Order: sequence, then structure tokens, then C-alpha cells
Amino acid sequence: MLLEVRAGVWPPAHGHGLLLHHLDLDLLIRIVGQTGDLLVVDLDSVGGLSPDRRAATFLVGRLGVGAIVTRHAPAAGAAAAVGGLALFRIFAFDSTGLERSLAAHPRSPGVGTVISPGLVLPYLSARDRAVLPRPVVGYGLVRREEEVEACRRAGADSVATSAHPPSSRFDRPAGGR
Amino acid sequence: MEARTAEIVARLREHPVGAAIKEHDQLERALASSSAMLFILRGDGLDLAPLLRRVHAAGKLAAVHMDLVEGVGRDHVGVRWLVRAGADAVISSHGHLVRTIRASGVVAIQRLLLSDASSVTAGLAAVERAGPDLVEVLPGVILPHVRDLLVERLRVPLLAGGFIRSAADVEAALAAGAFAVSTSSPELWGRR
Repeated sequence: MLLEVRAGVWPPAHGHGLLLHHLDLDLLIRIVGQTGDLLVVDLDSVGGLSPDRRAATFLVGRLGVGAIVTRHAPAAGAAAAVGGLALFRIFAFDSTGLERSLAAHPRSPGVGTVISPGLVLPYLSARDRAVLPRPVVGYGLVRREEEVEACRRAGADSVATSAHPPSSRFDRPAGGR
Repeated sequence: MEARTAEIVARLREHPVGAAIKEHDQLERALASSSAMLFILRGDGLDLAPLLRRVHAAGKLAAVHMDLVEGVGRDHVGVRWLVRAGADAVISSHGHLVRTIRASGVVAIQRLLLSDASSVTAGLAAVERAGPDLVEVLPGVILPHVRDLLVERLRVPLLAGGFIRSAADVEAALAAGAFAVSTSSPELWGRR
């Protein structure tokens, strides 16, 4: 499971990986320096970064981020090329949108799939799910534990959720918002 | 609520499953169904008038998705073209087009694409700015999960579309606050 982290919301880590999104580069760098948890970064929503090859290489190669999420194929390819995991973001609003979005997937080694909203995963047909390059992560609007479980049963390898488990640990990064 | 919008809402409340048309061969079945409204999601936007005449001749209404049909510009001239072709409603995800559609005298349906929490916030703000007659939420199948984020914050009637493939999906979306759904599953078209 991945816990969603955005500017202003810093959850207890609790041994889960963190999916960082909608924050700026300065805060991202502070978080990277303060946690040993697996970090996944939604590149397309980081203020100060362009969703391109250079930024992907910077995140994985320089900052040591474990994986990036992006809907830009060149950025996904660059992250995979420097040894990271790239998760190509597919928007599944309806069957036509899913088909079009999936057609842009680079389908290359080291590039998995994020389905957004993650909530829709249990509603996709088995055939739709079978063609998604793995690993598959559900991301977006998953707020309840039963929704996480439904995504896992639908075949998600991981699920990003804003439902943060309680913990005594609360490590807000210095200067974090 | 304006008269045109009220008519669409009333017709769809009576038959709350609209027919989403993505392939030409779906048209005959949709026309023969008891669906009150067809949602035209693909095709040649420059040659819609004959199709829309057939829809009206079958006693049905038609909404045309401006962002998805081909050939029509995403601007006020394109909107005017679709209105002249006979569209009863025009759908778009773009707020500036929604305002233009409303000004043209047909019903404006704004699509709200839900991918994550930030898209909900941004989408609600976009709806507030654009002032559509109706909102269509996609993927509609997740509406029951997000009704607390959406339904009470929207002041316009709500449609649900996207991955609605079973009678249970229809019932769940209606129970969650949608007044009607659109689906490309023909077995559901016209269901009351």
C-alpha cells in the first residue's frame, strides 16, 4: 500500500511507501532527505519540475526516488533507463478513454501502470485488467480500507490511498507545510 | 431551471438510462429502444444533421459530445454548427465552451472527469465558474463512493456515465444522486 502525501498533508509513515503528489520541488527534496520509506513521486504534479526526461532522471538518478508516476511516455522511459520504476498513468473515465489512454502506454521494460481513479479498478472487466502492463497501481479517490481491499482483489499490485492508518509516529519535515 | 433543461430532465427521469453511441451500428438499436436520449460520442460532427433528424423522428433527444466528435472546431462557430444540426444538448469538459453552449440556447452539459481528489476540487470550481445546465460525472460507476465529495456541492442535476455496465451499476448511481445515467451497454437502454 502507498500512502498519499501532498503539500499540507504529511501522514504517519507506518512502514508503507509514500506517494508524493501536488507539492513543490523544495518540499519534495526535504521529504526525500528525511525518510527512508519507499518514495513514489507523481512527477506531473510537482511544482518546479517539467514532466520530461531530465526531471525523471533527476528524481530517480539524483534523489533516489524509487518510482515515478507520469502520463508522459518519454519521462517514463527515462526513469526506467536509470534503474527506477516508472508507472505510466492511465485515466479510466470510460471504456473509450481507457482504450485511448492505454494506446499511449510505452509497454517497455521497467514501465508499469497506474490506473486513475484507483476506485474504478474493481469495475474494469477482467479483459481490461489483463492487458495492463504490470505492476499495476490504483491511484486516486481511494479513501477507505474496503476500497483498498477491493482494488487488491481486482488485481492491483499496490494501491495509493489517502486513508492513513493511525500511528504514534508523525514526522513532519522541517519547514513542511 | 430553463424549459429545455427541464424537458431533458423530465424525459430522462422517466427513462433514466440514456444510450451512449460510440459506433454507427449502435444507432439502430438505440433508436428502437425506449431510451429517451442518445449521447453521440463519436462520428463525423460535420455530417450529424441527418442522424439527428432520425433521432428526433424517433421521438428522442440528442446530446452531442463536442470534444469527441470529429471535424467540428472547439469554439463558438463549432457550437453554432452543432445547434443548427439539431443537437438538443452539447457536452464538453471545457468550461469556456460550456458558457458558449449555454449562450447558444441549447442545454450545456459539463463533463466532470474524476481522477483524484484534486480533480474533484478543480472540477467543482470549474462547474461553479461555467454554470452548466447539467453535469455528467465520469467514471459514473464510482459515484456511490464519492457522493459525499460531490452531490451536495453541486447545484445542478447530475448525470453519471462511464463503466456503467449492469442494472446494479444503474441502480447504485441513481441511489447516489444521479437523476440518469448514460451507457454504451445496449441491454440497459431504456430501462426504467
